[in-house]
Amino acid sequence: MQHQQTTKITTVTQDSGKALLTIGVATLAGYLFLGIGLLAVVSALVLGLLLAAYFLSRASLKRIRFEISTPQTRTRVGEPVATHVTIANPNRYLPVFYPTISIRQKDTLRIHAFQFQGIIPAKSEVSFTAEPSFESRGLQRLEAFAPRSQFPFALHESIANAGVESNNIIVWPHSLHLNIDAIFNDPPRKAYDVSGEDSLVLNSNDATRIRNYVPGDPKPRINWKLSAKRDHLTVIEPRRQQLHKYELHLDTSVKLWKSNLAFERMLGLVSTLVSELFRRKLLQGISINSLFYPLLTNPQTTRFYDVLAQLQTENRDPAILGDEIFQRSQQKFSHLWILPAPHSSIILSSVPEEIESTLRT
Amino acid sequence: MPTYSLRFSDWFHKPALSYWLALISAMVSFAIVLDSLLFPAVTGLLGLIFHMLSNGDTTDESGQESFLSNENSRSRLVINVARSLFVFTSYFFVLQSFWSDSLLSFYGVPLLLIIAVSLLAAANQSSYGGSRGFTSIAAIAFLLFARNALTMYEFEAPFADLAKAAAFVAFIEIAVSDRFRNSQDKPHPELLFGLLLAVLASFTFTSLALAFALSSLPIASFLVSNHRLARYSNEHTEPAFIRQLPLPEQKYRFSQYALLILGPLFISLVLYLSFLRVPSWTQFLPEDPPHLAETVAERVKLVSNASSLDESPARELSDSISRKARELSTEANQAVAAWTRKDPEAIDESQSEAPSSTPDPLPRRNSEVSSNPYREQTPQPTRGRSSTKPKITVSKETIPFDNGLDYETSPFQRTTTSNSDTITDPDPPRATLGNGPTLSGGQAGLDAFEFNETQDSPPPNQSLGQASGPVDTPESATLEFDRFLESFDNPGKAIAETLNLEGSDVSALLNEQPFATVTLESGSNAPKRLYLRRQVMDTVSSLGISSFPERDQKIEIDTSENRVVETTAFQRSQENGTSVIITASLRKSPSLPLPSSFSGIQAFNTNSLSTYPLKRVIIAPAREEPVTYRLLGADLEVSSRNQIESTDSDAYLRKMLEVPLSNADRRYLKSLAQRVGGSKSSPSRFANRFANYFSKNHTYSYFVEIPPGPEHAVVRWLRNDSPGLCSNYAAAFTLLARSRGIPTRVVGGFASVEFDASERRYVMRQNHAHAWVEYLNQSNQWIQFDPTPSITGAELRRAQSYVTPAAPASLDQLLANESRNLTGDEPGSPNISDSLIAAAIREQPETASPRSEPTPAQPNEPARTETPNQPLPSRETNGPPPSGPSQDLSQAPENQPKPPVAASSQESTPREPEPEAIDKKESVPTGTASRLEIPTPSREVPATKDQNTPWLLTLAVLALATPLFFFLMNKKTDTPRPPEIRLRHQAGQLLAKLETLIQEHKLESDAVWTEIKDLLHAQRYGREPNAVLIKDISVKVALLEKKKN
Repeated sequence: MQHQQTTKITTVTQDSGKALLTIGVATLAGYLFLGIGLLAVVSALVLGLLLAAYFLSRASLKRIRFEISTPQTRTRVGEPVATHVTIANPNRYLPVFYPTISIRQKDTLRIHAFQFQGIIPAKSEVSFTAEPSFESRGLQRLEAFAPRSQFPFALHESIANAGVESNNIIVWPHSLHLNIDAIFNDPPRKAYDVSGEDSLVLNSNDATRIRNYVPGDPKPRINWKLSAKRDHLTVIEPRRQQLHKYELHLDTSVKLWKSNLAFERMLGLVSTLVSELFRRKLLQGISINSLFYPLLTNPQTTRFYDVLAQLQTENRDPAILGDEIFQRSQQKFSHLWILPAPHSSIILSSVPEEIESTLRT
Repeated sequence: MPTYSLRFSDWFHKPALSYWLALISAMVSFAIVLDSLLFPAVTGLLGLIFHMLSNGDTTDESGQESFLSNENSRSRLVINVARSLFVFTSYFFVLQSFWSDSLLSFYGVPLLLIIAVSLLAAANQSSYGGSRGFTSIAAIAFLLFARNALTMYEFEAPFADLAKAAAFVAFIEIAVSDRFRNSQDKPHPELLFGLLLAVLASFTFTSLALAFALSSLPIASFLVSNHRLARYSNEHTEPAFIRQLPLPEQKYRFSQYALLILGPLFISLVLYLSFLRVPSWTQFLPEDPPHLAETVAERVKLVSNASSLDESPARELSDSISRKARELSTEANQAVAAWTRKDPEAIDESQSEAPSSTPDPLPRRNSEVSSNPYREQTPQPTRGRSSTKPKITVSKETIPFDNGLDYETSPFQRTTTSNSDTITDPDPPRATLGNGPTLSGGQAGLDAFEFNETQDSPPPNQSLGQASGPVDTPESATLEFDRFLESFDNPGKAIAETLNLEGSDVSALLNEQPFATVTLESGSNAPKRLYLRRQVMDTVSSLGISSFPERDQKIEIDTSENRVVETTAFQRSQENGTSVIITASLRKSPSLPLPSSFSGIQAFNTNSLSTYPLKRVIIAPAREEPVTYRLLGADLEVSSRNQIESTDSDAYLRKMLEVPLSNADRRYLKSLAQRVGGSKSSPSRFANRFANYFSKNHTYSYFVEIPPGPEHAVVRWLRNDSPGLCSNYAAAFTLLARSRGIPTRVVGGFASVEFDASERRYVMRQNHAHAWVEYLNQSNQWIQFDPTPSITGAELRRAQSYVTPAAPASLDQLLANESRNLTGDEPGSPNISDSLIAAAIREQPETASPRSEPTPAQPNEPARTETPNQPLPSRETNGPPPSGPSQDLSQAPENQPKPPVAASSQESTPREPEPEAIDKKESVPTGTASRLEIPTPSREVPATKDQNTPWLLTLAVLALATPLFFFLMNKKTDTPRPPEIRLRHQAGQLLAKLETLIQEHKLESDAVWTEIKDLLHAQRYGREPNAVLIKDISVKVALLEKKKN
């Protein structure tokens, strides 16, 4: 949060002001040429109004103060952030009328203009909510600048040359649409999904699934009726639980993600992928450049997204093939590598030949 | 099935504030331009209704399109058609009034043209900005040009009618425009058209305050609408919602918004004062300018004279400011001198030289350079733009160039009453003309000199009175003019001999002494200008035009005991008119002022009248007291449609065609009549063409000079394009029309525009004396026609600067007389009636010569007056022209409280003590009181002369009261609500609607609708209303509503 005293004010005459100016000059010329008394009155009124509006519009913005803050610390690219803007009007007499303020992510070009459709009376302040959005991921901050108003009468727009910045916000990558089933080599099966003959087999009770409770088992799984019968705490396990969880591997080598666009897009797709797999509870964790991030709980996911927000490409050879994890997990079904695919898409693969061929091209 | 609601608020929408302001200013301006209230009020009201009907805001407060907006599309169509019809009707109504002839002449082309222009305006309902208005103005301009070319043979721009038409178009544009809602029309037509209307209206008033109000209202309207549009600064801006609780309702504190009003006003005032100081470019013309520049400069002077506002306060302020600035700069100079001085003497020098050496802070007029009363002690006041000095300087040059503009109906018209300050100026301007050191410019002095010269050396034919008496005596001059109008009973008198064909006297026509009052019993059809005829002059002699009394046609009627006498011979109109009560002073002429048609007469204080049915003239026995009579079935403005055909004998008509002039003169008249009037044109067209010709070639002027020569005065006047008075125009027209074969006669009388609407009374003054003509058209109707062009403001001011008004107390005398006669003659003091009868009997044989009238009346007077000696001599001296005392002009206003007033008031006193008359007691209870009371209304006379007053007041009330009403109405219905509550409210309404619909359609078991109902319920009472969801559901509900059962 910052306070800043405005220094310079630019005034732009609006279309209506220009129309009035035209009328004022024309009537003045008419008066000077024809001597019609009313034209002098009209001309004086119009030009006086324009001049007074000019000075008043400058005076009303001269001492304006404002600040910007965001209550939330994390957001996604392109999603509106609830932002609080407070504008104080320390003038003695002049109100600030329908002030408009520009908000943008710092050091970017896209501006969101927000107008407070009310009047800030003299010696009071008003706080309103704007909802700008971020353009890029990372640790970003918002910048509010150029408070402006068409007060009075919307003849001129005066713009104060001032700006304030908000606190830092972590901006996660924008999650892109992804057909998850299509990108798997071997599409994962959902838990409990059974079909065909399996269903007949699985419908029968399987005694092996009934076992004693061991500490660590989720408590809802305790079957109290059975426990009472057997006089042991008894747990019935789900019938066909997906026992294996996927583990993702990502390498941020420039060689792998050749263009920045593809990299950014990959991040968006990965964020969708992770959130979807996390929702399906199919994800163990993800290793990024050999650093493993477990993804079992919400805080862990949040941490992962924070990392994702600030992830950059690294200028080195892809280290997947020589990686020890790669070596270790080559045989395993549940280890998937995130690899570039045509059209800036991604593909997940656990087949070494495929990975190697992708890396070579 | 769409349901049409019958609620008022669904059909009529609140008019926007900007629309109000624009409409009010337009109505006031338009009423001023038209000089009538009814049409602007009715049109404005209809426009307002259509505005409220059709300009419903299709967007709700959040700027979203209301889903109900399409529902009324069919009624919208009906409204649009009705609006087009309204526009068409009002255009047609206005346009046909511009066309004096029948619309079906020229194979109906005029009708087709008018319909085409009206259709163009009516069909052009959706064009952008002001283009429709300008299209209409252009079309009307073409129409007017066609009218002038076809009927009047005139090929100049019809400024006056065009100005009216432009005002009308601007008014309609403002009244029915739909740009006061969320439209972003860039040219801001309400501003342009409003200012155009204000400028057009400004030619008819002088009030600076009114000008300020009329010009600031359109600007205010523009600002309000602009302010409203500025809420949404542009389409890329998103709204920001307030986070905290809504601010407590701000109490209106003037200090917070005073800057918004006072700042612009202050800067405007400074600008205005500095604009006033800019000299007019017409003063800087070189010695021998090109002809075009000179002509333009003359026109500009005319226009600026006509449009000058009452800038005196502004001028004084600006003078004092410049004085202040000068003092300041002087002090500054002194300070600088003191700062840089070397020796003490230098200060004194700089102080003494300071006033002349310091440069002016503002540019000043050349006449003001030396006028600093503070420093230089010059006696004369500083003169600004519209002071008397430029008027006098300009007037001489102005007249010859006053051709094209028809000031009768033009927007540049300036009423006489507006210049009353000039008249009541205690210093006669003539006195300052000679010795005023400020007026050192050669022109002013020269003009004054020339004026005196014309007055001092009259043309040889001039009459005795004018030659003998001092020229600027109002009384004698009045009598001179009266003698011209009186010539009915003085057979030997010819016009040229008395007055007006050779030269004229200004003061006769500027004497404001009231002569008669005309009270309408119902004021519905009061004409704007009332013509009252007194004499008919139908005999042309080589000297002029005069009136021979037809003694064999004289019919004596007995009017004693207030008897109503039927006078069918005087009835010219088929319409049943109203009753009119006229009280006229007959001191100078015995003929009664009469309207052109009436069916019966009831005279109150005369016992007999002599009537002349052929000329429709009535002579009363001459007497000192004003005569009061009631005319029954009087039609004050006979249209040719209603007029009864005349049954005059062929001999009389043949006499109406006589032109007893020399052959050369007759040849000239005939050729001119055929050249200008056309050889085969109808009489009405002939008359119009000559009226045009006169207004272009002969300026109306009080200073008539006709060069001497062997020809007849009329021919000389025509040949030399001399300026003229009404009698010149009437005489010339008569001769011209007669030589074309149109029977024509001159009518003398009074024409007054001074109508007091509250009293329904016209006041006729001496300066309303007028002459016009009557010609016989193809249908054997005597058409009253006024060929006189109207007077320019500059000329009127020039003339008025030489004359001061006479005592206005005689109006009270007239009024008192009228009320006395009407309240009842029976108590009315046997003395009076007896003496009147006696006077009438005595005068009857002498056919009421005006000269002899005061003398027989004189013996009756002393019997009735308490103080006989004082009033009588003064009254007597005023009466007969030969002994007319030369009252100096400058003394006339000071004479007011002196003998004449006293005489008039005392004369009325003896009747007061009569116990029967209640009204008398109310008006003047005692003799002493009457003296005090009577002058009081007399001072108000100049104020009430302003004919604008009553309806301006009405307009002001209208302008203030109606917005207040709507403001209160709006306040009740439209309470601002926070958006959340509004959404909940909307959800609640939808819920109620949905429940009825579900019952109607028997959908209680339908799961979908039940779910929607639950959703709505949640929106209504739940935690957070969702605008999108509510809108979604509202669409669904609307669809369900449209579904058939």
